[in-house]
Amino acid sequence: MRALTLVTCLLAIALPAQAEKGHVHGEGSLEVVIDKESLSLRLELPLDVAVGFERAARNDKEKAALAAAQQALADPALFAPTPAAGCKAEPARIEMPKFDGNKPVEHADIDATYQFRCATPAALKSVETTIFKSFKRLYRLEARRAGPTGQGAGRLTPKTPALTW
Amino acid sequence: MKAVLRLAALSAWSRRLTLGLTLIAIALAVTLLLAVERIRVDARQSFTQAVSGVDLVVGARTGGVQLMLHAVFHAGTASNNITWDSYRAIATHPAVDWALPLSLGDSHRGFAVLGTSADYFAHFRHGDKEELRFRDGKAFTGVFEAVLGSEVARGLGYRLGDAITLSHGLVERGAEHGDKPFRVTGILAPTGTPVDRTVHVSLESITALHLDWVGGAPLPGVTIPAEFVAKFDLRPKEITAALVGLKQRSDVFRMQRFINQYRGEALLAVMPGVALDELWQSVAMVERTLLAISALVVLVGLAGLAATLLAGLNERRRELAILRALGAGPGQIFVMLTAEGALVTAAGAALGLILLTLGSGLAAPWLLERFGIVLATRLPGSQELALIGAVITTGLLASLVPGWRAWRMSLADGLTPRN
Amino acid sequence: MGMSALRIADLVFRWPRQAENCLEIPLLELAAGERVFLHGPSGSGKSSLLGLLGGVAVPQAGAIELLGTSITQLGGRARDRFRADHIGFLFQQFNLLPWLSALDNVLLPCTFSSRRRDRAGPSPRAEAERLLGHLDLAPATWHEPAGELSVGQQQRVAAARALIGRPEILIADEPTSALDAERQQIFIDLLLQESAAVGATLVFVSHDRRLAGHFDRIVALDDINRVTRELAA
Repeated sequence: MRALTLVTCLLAIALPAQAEKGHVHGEGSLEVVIDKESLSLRLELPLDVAVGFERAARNDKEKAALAAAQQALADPALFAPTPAAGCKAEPARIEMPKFDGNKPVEHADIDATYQFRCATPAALKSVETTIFKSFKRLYRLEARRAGPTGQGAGRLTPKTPALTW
Repeated sequence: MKAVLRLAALSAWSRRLTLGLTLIAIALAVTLLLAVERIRVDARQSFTQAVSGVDLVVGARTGGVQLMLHAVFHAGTASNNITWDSYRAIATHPAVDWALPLSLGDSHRGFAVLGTSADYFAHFRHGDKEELRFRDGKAFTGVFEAVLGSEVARGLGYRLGDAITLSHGLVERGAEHGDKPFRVTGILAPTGTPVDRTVHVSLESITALHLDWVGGAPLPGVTIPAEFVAKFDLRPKEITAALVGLKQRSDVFRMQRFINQYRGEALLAVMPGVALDELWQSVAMVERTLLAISALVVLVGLAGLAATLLAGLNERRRELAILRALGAGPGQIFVMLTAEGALVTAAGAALGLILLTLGSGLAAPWLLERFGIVLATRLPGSQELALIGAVITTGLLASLVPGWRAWRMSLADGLTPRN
Repeated sequence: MGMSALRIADLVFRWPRQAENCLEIPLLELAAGERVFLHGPSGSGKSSLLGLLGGVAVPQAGAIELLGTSITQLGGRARDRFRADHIGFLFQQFNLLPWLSALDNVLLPCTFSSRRRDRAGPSPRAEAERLLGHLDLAPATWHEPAGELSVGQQQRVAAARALIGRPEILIADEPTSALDAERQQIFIDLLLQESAAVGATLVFVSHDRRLAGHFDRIVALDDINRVTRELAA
């Protein structure tokens, strides 16, 4: 019975985290929405994870890094939904952080949106990602999901790079 | 071999006191192990069942725990309220399909009273997206009408048309709203969720009850008779929380951001399914630890069994020598001892399962009331069967030790134990 | 007849992890149906010999033939089976499983050996009752747990158990040591009579020569075992 008191305490720790998902270094977030035949993924990646700095590019090398990150993220093949669902990717939308000159900022995120059209969305059971291979500094993606089967959450890591439900 | 097993059983029966104590120790350990597992599974099951169809749970920013426990499970104490205006802003948002206001805080003989709108019965879903069904009667339409959950009606023996009075607060001896009785207009079919243990009334009724109250106590010298409350503005000023369903599921993250960043008031929107998954993630470690501890307790019990059998072996040297003389081989002696241990383990596991069933029957109402966990009385699930299997296997392995020792002994002793 | 019930030749036996030989018996032969008093003081290798005859111990050298079967050449399981089928054992005391009834104790050999069961007649139970009756046990005691009987009663139950299913060989190891002098002789007479009735070869082992009176033949273990003789010399 004490276990349940413990559960309640842990609820206390777990739930506020959802209210304001902070910006944590090395950690990105992924929102997965399934609505009819559309599967949309919204990825939020700290700029630091992508390129190693969190400000405007200061030289050509840094500019190239930003461009490379943008290009890597623009490939929808980073995410692979359940093959049986027959999902076709639409072009990804990448939103790079804007900087006001060289003013230091606290945090900057890259927002990427991926859209899929799925022939048999009922077969959707998972999304697997290869993003950890492209971005070595990323060690965790906190994923949240909403779909016809309900809501859920999961944690993607280089070792378990798939969200299943 | 059958003869040997029968003798093993008879021999064990002759030592039933010692073995019985060992068996009880194993049974209790198994009960603990299975209880941890069952509460774990049932907690998940019942939490998940209770929130199906709700996209967002909205409440005051103060605490997600209270919000979930309170709004969904009608358990725990009231958190801060949110204003009616905020609720209206959310309810009228174009993305929102329906929003159910919830006002909690009163009770009826230990059951929670939920003030809500009549829409509740149309939109609330439980289990596998099942609608609420009326077993008797219909939804409330006016003030001082109540719809009872199945457990409330069954437990207290209420029927349609009965009059009930509510108490202030969640404790049973809270101040009474005795001057304003409610009439039962409907009784819901069982859902296996906290709905069963809830008295549903309209928000207006909640306001009407508290017209002559201030700060949780009746205003001294002021009583507003029930027949006059209709003259007052009964629109609620505050509610405890709201359940929100969206037109499009894809809007849920956007809507959550909208509510969490709402300017008028500090609000908190929780995606219940996500919250539960995150909860399971964070309690996984604790669950594993609890399970590991119970497994250790089982191991202690089984070690006790092996020790009991080993200790008894010296006294049974005679018995083993007689069996040898009668033609039993060392292998049969080994099987006999091992079978005895396995038998005691299996009986312990079976008794543990019975104790669990009895215990969960006793603990179920309390768990439901305090934590909203529906502890089902059912046959053991595959996970539980796997645990039982593991216990019996371990018991068998532990019994190999006395079996092996008896085997050695019978080889060394021959027909005449040297004692 | 002609065939011997028991034949030991050039036997050498030593318990595992012991330096000295325990038994060295050049020859011992018993005829079928013979009732032999085997005299052996304690320490003479008596229980070792019984273990060898029962097939729970195996000699380092030599042959043991029982009823024409060389049991030293049998595997462990086959030796256990041979013992169950052909030999009835009777020990000093505590012969019975105390938690079984007297009757069930008598029936035990029939559960371990189908041969003994078949030879116990159409109803082993009736045969067990007949034997108990013959051995002067009142029917009231048959269903009592064996542990609650007197020592004398227990020994008679044990005798009935050794006799059931008419084993060819009966081995009794000091079966009267727990009885008083008067009862000892009565019990021995009963045993001789019953073993004659089933036609068994009886090997009665004891350190007490006074009991040897009614036997066909007396063998002193000291005489046939070279090890003991050397030690005694």
